[in-house]
Amino acid sequence: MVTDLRIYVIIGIFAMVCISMMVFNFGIIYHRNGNKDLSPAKIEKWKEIIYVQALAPKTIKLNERRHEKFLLRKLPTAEKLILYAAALQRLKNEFPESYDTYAEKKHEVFLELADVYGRKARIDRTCYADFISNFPELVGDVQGRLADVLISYIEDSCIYCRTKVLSALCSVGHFQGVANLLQVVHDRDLFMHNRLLTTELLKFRGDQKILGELLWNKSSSWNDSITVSVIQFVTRISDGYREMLFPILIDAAANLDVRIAAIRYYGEHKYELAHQILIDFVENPPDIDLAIAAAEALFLYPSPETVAVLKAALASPDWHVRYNASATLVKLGSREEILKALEDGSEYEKEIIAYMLELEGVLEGETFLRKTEGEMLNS
Amino acid sequence: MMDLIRDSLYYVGVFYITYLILFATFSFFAIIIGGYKLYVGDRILKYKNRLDHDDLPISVLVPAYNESVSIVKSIYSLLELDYQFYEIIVVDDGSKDDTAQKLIDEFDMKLIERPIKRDLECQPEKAVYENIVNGVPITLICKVNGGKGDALNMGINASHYSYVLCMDADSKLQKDSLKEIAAPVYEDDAIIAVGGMILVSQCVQLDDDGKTARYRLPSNVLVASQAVEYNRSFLASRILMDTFNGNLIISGAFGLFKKSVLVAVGGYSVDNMGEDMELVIKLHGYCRNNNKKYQMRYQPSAICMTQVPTTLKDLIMQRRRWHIGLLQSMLKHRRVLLNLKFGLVSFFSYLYYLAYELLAPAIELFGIVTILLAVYIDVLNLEYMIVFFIVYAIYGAIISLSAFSQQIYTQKFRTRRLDIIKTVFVCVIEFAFFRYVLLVVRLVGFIRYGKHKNKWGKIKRV
Repeated sequence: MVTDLRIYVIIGIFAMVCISMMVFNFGIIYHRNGNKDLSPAKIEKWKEIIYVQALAPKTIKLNERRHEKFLLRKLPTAEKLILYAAALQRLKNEFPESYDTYAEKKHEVFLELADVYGRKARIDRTCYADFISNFPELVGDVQGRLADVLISYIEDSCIYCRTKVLSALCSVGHFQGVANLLQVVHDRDLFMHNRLLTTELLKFRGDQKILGELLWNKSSSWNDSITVSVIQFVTRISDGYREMLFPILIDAAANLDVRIAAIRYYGEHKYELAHQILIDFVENPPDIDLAIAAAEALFLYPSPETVAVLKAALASPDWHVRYNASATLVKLGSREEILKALEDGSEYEKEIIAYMLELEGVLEGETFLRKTEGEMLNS
Repeated sequence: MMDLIRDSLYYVGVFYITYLILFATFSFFAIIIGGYKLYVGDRILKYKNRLDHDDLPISVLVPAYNESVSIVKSIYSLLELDYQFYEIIVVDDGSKDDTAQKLIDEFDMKLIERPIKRDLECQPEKAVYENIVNGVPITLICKVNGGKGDALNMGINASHYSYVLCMDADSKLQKDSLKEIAAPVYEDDAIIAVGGMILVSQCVQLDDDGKTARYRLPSNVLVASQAVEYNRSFLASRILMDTFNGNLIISGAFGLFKKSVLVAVGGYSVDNMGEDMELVIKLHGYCRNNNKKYQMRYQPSAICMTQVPTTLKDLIMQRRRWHIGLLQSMLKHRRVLLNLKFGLVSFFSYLYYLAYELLAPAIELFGIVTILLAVYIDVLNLEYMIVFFIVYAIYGAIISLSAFSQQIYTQKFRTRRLDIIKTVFVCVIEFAFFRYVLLVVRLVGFIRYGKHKNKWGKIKRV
């Protein structure tokens, strides 16, 4: 009987907790349903407050200090910051000039708020960094001081926080801030996906070439993942790294991903010295991934030697090498070599070339294959 | 002799009470942890703590077998995904209907001599078609029939990108689902697989943005019960197991995988009816045996909608297939059981699936036989049993209802009061009766098992 009772008690306790959760959830659902227009109404309220400040005729003297105090009192709550951001976005869209004037006067307020958020949980810090990334004009001439505060956010941070801080720094266009952030990411061995890092760097609002130089100069002391991102970044913004990247290309001890990033750089920006190296990578690959990347990069280096090495690569045991080599051959448009490959080549060579030619719309697949069996030389 | 039977029945009773209390405890923690995680996830989204990136290239693999009715619609919905960088690969696994022709006609697919690398073994292709529609490359591969796993292996072979998304041909993805399911890859270098949440499409209405907006349990009790069951699984137990990287299943209807790891483990099994579960256990084994750091994540914000069976016949077929798949997977990977190397995957997840999924029909059948025996020899406290059953059913219904409320709250669905009343009713029906229907279904699942293995599980589409 005692055992029976205990079982009921256990199940009863479980059920009570679940019921409380359910009540909590349904409470939120009903609260939301009953206040469908609450958020827009709140945004509207914020809009009124902002518009009074931003759109008032110059003849009317506003109490700006009072507005600033109001912002400092209200905006440390993330939910209110989100509403404020929504209202501010409307001002930005509707009256860009008034927005700029308004933002110009608020630099110190948002610097102070940055400090306030720095003492909050990371979810709030992330929210503030996201806010700054959307409204960089609010911190115009205090961006240097802001950068230091934002970088301090990544103490005990999550990936969202790091990314949003980077995004904010890129948005305000602070070179040194971005470099310092990457230094911290490196020093603390924090994870940032290199694709994500590159994407954020490419959003940098400022002279990207200067940023590229700054990052490149520091990249040798950073981990390989960051270095890959820096190379990917400079690949997109500048052709001025051809000589600087060459030592990496030829350094057998360099990280594979870094070398591949370098190969891709030379696939975008031609450098004659790299030509022979790329050919060597395809001919005698120290690593098959280098051959795959090089076969694609050789598109920028048309020459009989390039065509010869690509043609030989059509017989590579690696599918990706064959694929890239054939794609490059077709792009190079050396039709005679292509047809020759089909004449002498193995089944593998024929099928990959035929596919690429079809893709390029050079010939219809069926026709082309039929020609390889007899009529090709006459075409 | 009677004393011996009475003693035996007493211990059997203790076993069942323990069994049920453990299950109640599991459900309890699952719903609590699930609720907490969903709440945190909701706050994260609200406070803009998200990675809004869509530049991870993904190959979307759509294995199809006799999907003539739904395939065109499915591909159109895939073309509308809010994602920058993806390709669609449809693998027609020797359909007997005009699945391939419908795609060829609708999307003006061109026959092409495309060589496909053979990273994974699979049945040969008969023809390959390609086209680019709305900037999205679509490939159609018609191949010799080999089963769903085989078709997926072909898709993996033909994919261009490093991450593949495996889904069902009749599933529909929410517009932002690729972005959501790819997000964990940006968060952690060790991610090798991500599973998304499956909603029952018969319950969902989409808004103009392609997001699920309204959730309503249909009047078909069978469908409604399955919806409740899905909720409990996807909003509770999977989230719980995700906390210790212990999920043993990523639904075949919606899962993202790192291709290199799939290739390393030999892809999907072709001789298993639960190829999705078998793959996940295999991935656990591969990574742990090779001391590779890995994470398989469950991402409830990535949403896929799938049709569930509307008739008992279809349901029986589906569950039979699932249960046999479970049996095959667990038998094949029996070394995971009580293996220290697998940690909680072994001592929690595997044991859970063993005791409460695989063996549940046998255990519950044994329980029913015991009750009948106890009645026969007049040792059953009938009043206690009935009260216990009612309490347990109410508890189960509360758990289901909690999962339902969590779903409405976190997904921001619109519902009416009538929906909630209906849900309360269905939750009770589901826990008190539907699970016993499933018990019978799973028990008969083994009958004629050999005849149906390696066949595609098809249900009637509506």
